[in-house]
Amino acid sequence: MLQTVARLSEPVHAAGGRRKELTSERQEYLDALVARSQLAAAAFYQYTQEQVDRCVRAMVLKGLEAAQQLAALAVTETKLGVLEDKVVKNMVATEFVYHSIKDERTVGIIREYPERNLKEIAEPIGVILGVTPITNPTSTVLFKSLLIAKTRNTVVFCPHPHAQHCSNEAARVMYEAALAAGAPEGFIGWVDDIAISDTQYLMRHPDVALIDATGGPGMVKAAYSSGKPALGVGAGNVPCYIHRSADLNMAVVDILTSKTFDNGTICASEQTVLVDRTVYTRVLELFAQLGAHVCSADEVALLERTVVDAATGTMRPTAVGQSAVAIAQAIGMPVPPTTKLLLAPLRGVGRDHPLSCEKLFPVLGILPVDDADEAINAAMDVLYFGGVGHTASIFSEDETVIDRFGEALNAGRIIVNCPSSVGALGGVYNDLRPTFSFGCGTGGGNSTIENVSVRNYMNVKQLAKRTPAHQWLRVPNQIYYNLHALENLRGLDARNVLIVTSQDLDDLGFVDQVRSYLASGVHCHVFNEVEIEPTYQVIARGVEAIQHHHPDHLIAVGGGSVMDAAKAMRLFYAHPDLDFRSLETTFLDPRKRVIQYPREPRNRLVLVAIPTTSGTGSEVTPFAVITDSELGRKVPLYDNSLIPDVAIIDPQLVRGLPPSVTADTGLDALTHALEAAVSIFASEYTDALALQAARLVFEYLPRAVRDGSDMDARAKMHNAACMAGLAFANAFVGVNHALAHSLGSTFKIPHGRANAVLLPYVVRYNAAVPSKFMPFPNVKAYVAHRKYAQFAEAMSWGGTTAEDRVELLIAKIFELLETCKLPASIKELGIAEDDFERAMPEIIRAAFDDISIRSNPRMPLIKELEEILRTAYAGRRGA
Amino acid sequence: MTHLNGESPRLQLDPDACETFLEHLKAELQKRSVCAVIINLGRVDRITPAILQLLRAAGDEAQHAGKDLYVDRAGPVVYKALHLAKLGPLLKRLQQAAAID
Repeated sequence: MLQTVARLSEPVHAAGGRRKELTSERQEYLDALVARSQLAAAAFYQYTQEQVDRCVRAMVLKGLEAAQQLAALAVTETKLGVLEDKVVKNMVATEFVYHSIKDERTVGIIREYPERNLKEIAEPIGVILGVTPITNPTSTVLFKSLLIAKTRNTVVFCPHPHAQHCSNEAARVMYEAALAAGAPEGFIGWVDDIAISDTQYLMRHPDVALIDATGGPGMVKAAYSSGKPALGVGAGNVPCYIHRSADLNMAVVDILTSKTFDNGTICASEQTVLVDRTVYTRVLELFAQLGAHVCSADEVALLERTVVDAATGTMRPTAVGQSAVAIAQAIGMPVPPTTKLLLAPLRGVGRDHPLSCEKLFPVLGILPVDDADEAINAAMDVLYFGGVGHTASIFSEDETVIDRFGEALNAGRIIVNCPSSVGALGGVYNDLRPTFSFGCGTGGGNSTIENVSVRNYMNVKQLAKRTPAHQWLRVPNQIYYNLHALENLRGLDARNVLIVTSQDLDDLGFVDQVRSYLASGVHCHVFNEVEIEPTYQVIARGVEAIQHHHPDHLIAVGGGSVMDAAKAMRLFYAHPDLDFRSLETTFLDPRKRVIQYPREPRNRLVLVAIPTTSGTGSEVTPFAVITDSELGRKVPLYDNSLIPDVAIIDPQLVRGLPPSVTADTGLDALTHALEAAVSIFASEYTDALALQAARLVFEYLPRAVRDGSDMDARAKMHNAACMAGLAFANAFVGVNHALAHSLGSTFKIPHGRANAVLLPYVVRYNAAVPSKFMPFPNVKAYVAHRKYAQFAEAMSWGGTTAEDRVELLIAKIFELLETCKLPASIKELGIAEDDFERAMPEIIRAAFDDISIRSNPRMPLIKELEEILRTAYAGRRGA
Repeated sequence: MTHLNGESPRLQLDPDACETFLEHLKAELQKRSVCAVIINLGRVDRITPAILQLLRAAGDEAQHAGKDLYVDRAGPVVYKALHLAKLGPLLKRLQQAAAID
């Protein structure tokens, strides 16, 4: 027995492939091979899909014809495996691979995604170094040759030194078939009389574009460490679990089919079988009945000493590809001559159990397990004992167990209810892509984990066309406007309403006025606790009022604060568990923001918004601001669900508005219009609204300020504010608002006035050529100056060029400020220069963080914001 | 059943009482009669970096004492985390013996 053990320990091919020196003649020979391949690659690049497919088909037919001859050569030369199985391998490598790639486009545009404006274009890689193994020496060459041709690449094959004759013959067969079908001369090449030093040299050759190394871990490691892009596969160590629910007969037949296929040389074949204890004995019986020899404990110990190298814990190469009977004979284990497999019951798996390593010969470990958990853990141990990323296998009818097994095991192929070797090759037992190269993922040190196929042999380029962003126009269901529009309240299908307002407005009689328009019989309750900049506590009290009165309509009567409060009350009434702070988010694009608002309930409260100022536009916008009094900051809310259902724009409610408030709010409306017009989200829809709104403001604001009882002017201004609201509700605002929010909160300036004092300076800033453009697909040219010019043109102010008209617009804004007795500089607001300078960094920081800035037509730089503020402080009007 | 030649005490790893675990383990490893310690992970539903660190320290202690450390009752999710943390060389999985007579 000792002698036979020694025999298994000897290297079979000790003499071959060991040439150490790489002579200059040899280098020239190898360089010439690569040079020839490179010329062929350049020629092949010009081929059409039809020409390529013709070559591939011819190669397949020739490969099938030569399948048996090549198999015989392989067995004779390598002395590994089984002739009949090698024939099958060669046929799978041609016929099955062809079937999987024949319809695949690999030339020019290979895929189109019209809905994504995207095309994919194939680019060949160039010269590929094809390193092929001893275990599948001809089938791997056939397979790789087909992929090479299909993708218009070229190859120099480096066969395993002990399989070079059969591998090179396979390459020759494929090459000549392709050549006859029109392939370029030299596109398949191979190294004759190969030595490891040749492969090492070629791996570092500057004109080799990719290494595809199929072989042992050493070869794969060499490929990856060459510094070149590489595809590679390494060792497997396939665990196989037989769950108690499995079809045991099928499982045993499949495992025998798999593990004995070509004497176990496929690295995806089963190495250790884990069997539920309840069916373990039955499984052993079935194995024995079908030709497996179940080893005794002594025989297992003998196998451990002989077929595994104790020093490395890996299989002995001399056993690879040998039959069960041959191995048994070699180690002195008496078995019947019909023995297909040596089945070795183990006491565990992992490093303390040598026979649980990879064994590319028909010796199979088997271990009982208590349950699925133990099986999965043991399977992990097997995989992590030399086979990470490769293949795992399971026999089970229990989908839950199958899924848990698949989730836990780090294997590129989880083969279910199939022989794992043939199953992993793909196309025979399942729908995996047929391959002779198994990617093992990063766990196995590979760049891919899938079955290597044509997609790994191409650079797939993506041609991405500009895709305009979808836009929207969201408006309330109804907008009633003009004097006595409140009459429309009678038409509401309301039985019970809650009027939301402020104490001041209630005291001034606004609530009574609104109440008088409600149909008789409608119950009316009032929540009048809203203050300027409403806090969440106020909103919470409002929600309690809704819960108490159970209204079917909320009617918000007031300015921006009241309408914002009503929007928030409706939201938090419908979703009482919602944390308002959780809704605070910044975003670059409103359609891609991370935070999603809850779905609107079906029978939610109807919100009617009745503005009592002409400026905010809140009656039609999806925005609201809540003050977080605990953290001392404002939480902006934005969602289309916040848009009121009905807006009533009745100018009688603004009749008593003081001139200064009329002026502030009117300039707020103008700022909305001008910012919406130049916003990156501006559209034809919002442009029309913005232009008309601005026209009305320029024409009627001075009259409304001068004479508050001018109801014609009031009505026009009320409509202007609503239209500007519709424009910025859909196109958003810009840097003017960002700065105004920050400046206003720092120095307690009314929002409209803060906007007003910045407006002419921001128009000048936006009208200039930007130092930085704002990226957005719908903006095809910088048009802010032209947009501004359109206002001057619409107003017939004169001017011949866009620049003239921008200047006219700026002058008219200054004129409007003066007419409305509004300050034209920050300094005129009464802010001391020292205070202003001190506050500047924080104002800029907050402004830059403001969401409004994201829709500005030019991307403001910090120093530019500083410049705008300084110019506005000093009131410098010149260009 | 466990093939451990000598005493092999079990220590329950309670995620809420990690602080004292290492001391208990060291005490067991110091006993001459103990050949291995088995850590019962049955109460660990989800492994945390702190627990992994603790198990690494436990493995180092056992290696230092020249004794084996086994884990038992680990669910597959927890067990995979041990592999991913490369604790394999330090910890063994307690395996049921095969009936091979």
